[in-house]
Amino acid sequence: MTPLEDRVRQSLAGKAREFPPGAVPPLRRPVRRRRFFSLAYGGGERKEAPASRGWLVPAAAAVTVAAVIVGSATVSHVLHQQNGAGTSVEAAAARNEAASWVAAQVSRSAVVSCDPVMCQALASRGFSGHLDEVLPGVIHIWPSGVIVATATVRREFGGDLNSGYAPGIIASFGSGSSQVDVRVIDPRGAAVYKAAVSADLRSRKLGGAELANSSRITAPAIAWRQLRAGRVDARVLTILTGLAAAHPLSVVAFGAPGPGAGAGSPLRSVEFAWSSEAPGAGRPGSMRAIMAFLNAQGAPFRPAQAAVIRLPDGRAVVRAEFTAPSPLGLLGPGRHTGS
Amino acid sequence: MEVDEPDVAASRTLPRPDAPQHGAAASADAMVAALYEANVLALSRLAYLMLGDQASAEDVVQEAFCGLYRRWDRLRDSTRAVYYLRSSVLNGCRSVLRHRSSRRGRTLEQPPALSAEAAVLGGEEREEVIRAVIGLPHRQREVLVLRYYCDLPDEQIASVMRIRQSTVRSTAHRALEALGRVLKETP
Repeated sequence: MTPLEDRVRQSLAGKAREFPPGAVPPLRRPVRRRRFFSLAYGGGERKEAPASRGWLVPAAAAVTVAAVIVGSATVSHVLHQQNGAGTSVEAAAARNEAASWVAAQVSRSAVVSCDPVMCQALASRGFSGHLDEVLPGVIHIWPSGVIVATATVRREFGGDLNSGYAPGIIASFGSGSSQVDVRVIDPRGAAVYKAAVSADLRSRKLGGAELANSSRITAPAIAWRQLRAGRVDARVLTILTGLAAAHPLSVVAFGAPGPGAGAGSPLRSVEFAWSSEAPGAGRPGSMRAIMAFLNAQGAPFRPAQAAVIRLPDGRAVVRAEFTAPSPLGLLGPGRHTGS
Repeated sequence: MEVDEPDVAASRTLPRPDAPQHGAAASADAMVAALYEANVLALSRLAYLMLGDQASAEDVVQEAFCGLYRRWDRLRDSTRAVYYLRSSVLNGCRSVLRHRSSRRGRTLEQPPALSAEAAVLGGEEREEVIRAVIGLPHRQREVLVLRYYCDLPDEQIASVMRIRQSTVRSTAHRALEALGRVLKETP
């Protein structure tokens, strides 16, 4: 085995150990379909019919009629049950998607309120932040953070979620009664939260326009529009400003709003590299300075995920992604964080 | 190489199914549960190496076991269940990677980026290799993972990936060459 092969073997083994044994969830079994009728005969043998008897024909007819009535009632009942099962399968799918999204995207420092089933799903996905169980019938004190609004949670709080303490949706999964929303909680109430969101949007527009006007950054037209419209997260704007002060940057794209999130949700990820005018740009290892800068940041400016990736055209760029929800007030006076 | 919890090796020492062949639901339950117990970690890690994120890896593995459960009665040779599972997991990974590419509107080879914390804890050198492996085309990455992580011989890799053995060898050769170029090492 060559040294390179040995290095690959050891690196893969080391990487695989990042998946901890305790993270393995229990086996989920597929929903078993009911069989209405069994088509198999017992043993496959037929017995000779006994000699005809006078009472047998009307009795058989009566049994047949009764069987048809009972059968149709059973079919109707089972079909009804199956519709219910379909809904529960959709609900489970939405719940799983939401749990995976929250585990991957929500800040570990945020308190996540959830019903017991969702909390268990989050824990099984290795979510290491604080989980706050919403128990039916128990008075709930709203912590600052995020709530996963499943049907159970909606039943508990009704309209209070939207008009009260959790007005902002950052991601949404499923539809109808199966819908699961991930909402930002602001214990000060909806009005204060909405005012903070508006103020943050104004600050992001100003900051974005400043970057868009800077000669230190190049970007495609759509990225310029997103910057000027205030769509880009304050943390992304801050790290880009910091890096552009050192060398010119080339932004490829902004992204990562939550699925089903409103158009106002800030874009929390960015793909970028040194611009071709920067000294040493395009050389192997030129991204190390960017990675070192990102890794040196403290909260809330340190990305949750950052790596050098290669685009289809062969260009290497850095992809940095920040957690949800986006903190509010980072750029303006009266700093307030939504998380 | 360090060895810890039941890993890929465990998947090759499966208990032979001794349940009756009537395909009773209870026997399928027990067999699938035993297979899950013995292989879930190794398969999850395989999917994790292919996809780079834990949640997707878990989903792909669960889906593979659900598929096995549904098809248990039709499985001609239940001792080959692990091969079936491995193929299913790889198919699931391909499908996730395809979905990611199409969702982003371009062929992005990379799964979600490595966390900054993982980069620090895991060692820069290891992450450099992993980044290079992740940057390879899917098929080359699969061959490397099956050969150097799962320790499968080329014959089994060919069977799992449904390609010829010669293709396995040439793909591995190309993958190592590409890695050598990126990492500045002789393959």
